[in-house]
Amino acid sequence: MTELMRQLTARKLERRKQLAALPVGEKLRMLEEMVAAAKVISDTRPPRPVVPVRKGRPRG
Amino acid sequence: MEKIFAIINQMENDGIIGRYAIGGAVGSIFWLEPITTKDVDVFVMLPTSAGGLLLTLGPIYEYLLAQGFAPQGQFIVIEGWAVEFGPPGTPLVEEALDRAVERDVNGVMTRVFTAEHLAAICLQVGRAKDHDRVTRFVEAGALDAEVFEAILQRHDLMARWNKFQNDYLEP
Repeated sequence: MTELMRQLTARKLERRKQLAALPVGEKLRMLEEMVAAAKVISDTRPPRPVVPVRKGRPRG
Repeated sequence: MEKIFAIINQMENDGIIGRYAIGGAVGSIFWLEPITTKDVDVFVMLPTSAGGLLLTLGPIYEYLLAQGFAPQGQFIVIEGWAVEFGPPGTPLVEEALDRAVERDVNGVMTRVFTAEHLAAICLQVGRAKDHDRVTRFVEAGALDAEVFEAILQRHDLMARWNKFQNDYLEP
């Protein structure tokens, strides 16, 4: 892992700790907002890949 | 979501369910940062039927449907959330329900699995998302090592924990 990636990972971890420390009511409110935002994004229906990767044995 | 907790509390007071606790992703949010999820997992002790043997979710569904909530597969939709009620399926979940702790959410009391039990359940279930969640519990410093390892020992999960540490947790 490069130093830059290490710093990025450390910042993300710190951010997660800050969020974890919030009052639970506020965290549940954030969850509700996340779910609503995710629904808006999923409603945009992205194009499907021509050959989607599937679970199972490797190709070739 | 407080309204959901209030409804479940009322169900407990009315004797529709026995002791309950929130588990799954919503339960984890009590200890971790918000994690996205589509449903609320409620683990409940079910009162036995008149015969004393049959455990059934029927009264829960009847109670909630009578209040106008809609079923959706195995879920009941309450306040826009898919809520699933289920009895504890393993001794570990049974213990988690027994030792769940009370938490106040904006003035509404509810009961939630401890961080140590949630992490132990994730370790036992062992899907990719469960491994991710165990890592989050560890990174957040949410687990009491002594309490956690005692749970793992009681439920024969120490070997799995040692492998998990080798595979996923950096020294």
